[in-house]
Amino acid sequence: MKRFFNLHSFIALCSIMGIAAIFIINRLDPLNTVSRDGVALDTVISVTASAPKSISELNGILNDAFALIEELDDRFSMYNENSDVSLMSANAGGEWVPVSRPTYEALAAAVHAAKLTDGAYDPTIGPVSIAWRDRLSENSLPSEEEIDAALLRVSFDALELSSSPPMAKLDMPGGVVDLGGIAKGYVSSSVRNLLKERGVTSALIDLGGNVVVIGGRPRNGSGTRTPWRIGVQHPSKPRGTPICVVSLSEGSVITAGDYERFWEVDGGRYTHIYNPATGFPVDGRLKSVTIISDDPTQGDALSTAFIVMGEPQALELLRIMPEVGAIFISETDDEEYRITATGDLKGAVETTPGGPHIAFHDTW
Amino acid sequence: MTGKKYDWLLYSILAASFALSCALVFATRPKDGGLTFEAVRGGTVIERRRAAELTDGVALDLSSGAMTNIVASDPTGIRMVLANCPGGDCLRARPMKNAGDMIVCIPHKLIMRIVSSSVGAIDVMSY
Repeated sequence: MKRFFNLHSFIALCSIMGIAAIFIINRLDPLNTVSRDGVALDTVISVTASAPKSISELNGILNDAFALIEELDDRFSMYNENSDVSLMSANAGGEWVPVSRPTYEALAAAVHAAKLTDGAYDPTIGPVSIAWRDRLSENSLPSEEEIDAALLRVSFDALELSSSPPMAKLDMPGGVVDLGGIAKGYVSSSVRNLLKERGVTSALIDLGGNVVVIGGRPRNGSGTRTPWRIGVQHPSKPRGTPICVVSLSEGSVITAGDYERFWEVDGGRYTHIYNPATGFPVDGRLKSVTIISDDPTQGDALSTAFIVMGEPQALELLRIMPEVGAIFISETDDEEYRITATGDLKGAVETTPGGPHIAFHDTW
Repeated sequence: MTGKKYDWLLYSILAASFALSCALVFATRPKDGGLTFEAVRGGTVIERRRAAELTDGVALDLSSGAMTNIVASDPTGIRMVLANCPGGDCLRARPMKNAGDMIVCIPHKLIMRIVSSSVGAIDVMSY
């Protein structure tokens, strides 16, 4: 009997237990998954959530997530005359306006991003975007006088906030708050918080291409996870064609591209991203910026700001933001594309077969 | 001698366990599900089938009440062929053929898309 407990036997027993443990772990965490799509925030939205919960529990969580999205959409929309943002614009130059806590938080994040980017992102760009939208929808262009008049009403310095109770004031007669460059980021962050608080262990939140992921991609009900694979849109190929792919288990991938929404008038192409310094749509070689970070609200604002600032200035700013990764897609002289990514994304971003080489740039 | 016998017994159990684990892990591995066509209205999947089943000439009626939407497949992919929505943007949308392709009829809140469950496929696009 003494030899039964020798070293070989002990190793063999441990091995059996180890193999059993590996298999049990692989089969534990039996996840259920539910997905839902809808239309909100002027785009298609989709949420997929997985957790060791019943399907009905998960559906209840998605009900709440979609209710939250609709509520925030109502508060942030420029096109809903009763939204917090519209009421602020209606009272521009006048009194303080009581706002909801989410609106206060989104405005505070917007002002912070505006300061950080020295106004390349500006939540008071509304007069400019309205001037362009109104003219372009009539197949014409705004005059320089109209643009200059609109620019006089753009200044994030005029946006004042008070925390308790949450109130806001746009101290600029004729000013218009436009949270379009940050709203989807804030909403996706709020949905992520809700899903995590309710015990969701894996999720994919897609608000019109603004992507937030939680906990890796479950592999067909098993306990193992792989990173989510997020394609970055090719600037000139059909929608859904990636130019590169980001692998990410947790965080956000937010892209701003000049190809996403645009108007064509008299042979000219005018994107929906405006330079707050000039009042004109951006029109450079930089076609898109993708921000990979843990903060989708900031990522949304930065992606817009970086398109305005251009790659060199954006990379300079990223030197003080080691928690933020970025991918820049630029057009080259020979109408090809160049991809630059921050060094922290090595191993997380790959080009597509036959796609451009990725140059990694160490920012810190 | 008795101890060595038990050693061999344990080694046999170990080998059998290893083989069983490999077999079970292999049997339950993620499978390549290929491409799937999905149609979603109001958050509910109203149609889901393998894209390969939608061969040339096959049509699907996704209408609901007064909202008419009919998709059909042709050599270019799956496209909207009949819709009574204002504007008719979905009728002009590019046919869906590859994973990630999508056609949306916003007035009818109808989303159609091609999805892939293949390991290594792209889960979502960032625009």
